[in-house]
Amino acid sequence: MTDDFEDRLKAALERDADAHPFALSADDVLERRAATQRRQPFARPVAGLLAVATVAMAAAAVSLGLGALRSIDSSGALLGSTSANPSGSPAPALADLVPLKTQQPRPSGAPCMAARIEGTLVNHSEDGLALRQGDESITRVIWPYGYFARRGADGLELVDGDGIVRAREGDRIVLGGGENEAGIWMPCGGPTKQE
Amino acid sequence: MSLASDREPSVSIARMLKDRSPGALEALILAHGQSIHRVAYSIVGDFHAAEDITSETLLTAWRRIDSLRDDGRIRPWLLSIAARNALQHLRQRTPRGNVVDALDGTEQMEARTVSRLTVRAAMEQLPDRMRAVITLRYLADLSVDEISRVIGRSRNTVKTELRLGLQRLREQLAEEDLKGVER
Repeated sequence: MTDDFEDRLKAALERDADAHPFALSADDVLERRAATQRRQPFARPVAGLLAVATVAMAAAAVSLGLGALRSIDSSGALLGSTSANPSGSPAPALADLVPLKTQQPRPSGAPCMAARIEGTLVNHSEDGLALRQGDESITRVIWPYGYFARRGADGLELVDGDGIVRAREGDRIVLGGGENEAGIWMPCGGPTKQE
Repeated sequence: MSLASDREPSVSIARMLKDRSPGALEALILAHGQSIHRVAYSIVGDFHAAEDITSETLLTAWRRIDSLRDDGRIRPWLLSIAARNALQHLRQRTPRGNVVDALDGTEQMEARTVSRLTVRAAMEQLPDRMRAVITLRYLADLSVDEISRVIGRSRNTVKTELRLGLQRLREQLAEEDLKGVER
């Protein structure tokens, strides 16, 4: 049952909350998330070793100096990119970033599995990027911390935490590391391209 | 925001998110950012924490949009995520003082006369979960069933929390406290 008090309470709560309007843009949201991760790099125990895809996306945007991907003017219209990375190349839109499953940050000197796997980097509907061995066999990968993928002119690109493209869709690569209990490859270090 | 209450734009935004369309995150913020922030702020009572919670909620939506079954229900879905994040924040925080105590002298004087601070102070007196229930009912317009799922308690518990919360707020808030303040 709604009475007059409830209506007035609702209005007062709205006034209270609206005294601090939310005015963050998309890049603010990404930066804030990345800043939280920087403050608490080991504070996300959920999902085992998996870091959430958004962390990779946010880290990607920040590490590339993408700044504003787009902004919204006061009338609500979407504006174009407002900043570029230091190299001057156009900033990829958020929609071009593809989430990858990534590992937690690896402490310096932590032991690595020493096996290796070769395969072709392929687009994977669930994981973003995976390795294909032979014609059919697909090996899923949990990429090193900070890695992400983005859509490039010739397909997906695998980018490390420094913003460097390490491989492209269709490349043959070698990954050191080993499988976890679920049969997912856990690379130790980045990929090596095979010519 | 009008966008948030119209089913058609909500469907469009959900579709944009699912398609990873350019500008989807911006459209989401434009349509629902303030509503999410309202709920987060009302529960945690801290503007900066509410911004963090809102950002987290928006990115969670971006990440998990495929779990939204009815695109037209994106608003309650978002506000539910925001409420869970806000409650999680409260569980992790260090104990804090009363909101009015935390204000400086000038603001304390205003707190006695400005209704929004009075409402805030009254809300601060409620237990966290009760404050969340009140927020979800009156700011987010969620149903008892929806609130029940968000806080993980039975419908009867939600009804009880609502009744007791309203009763306490009635006792604390004088008639003039709820009158509008010209801005």
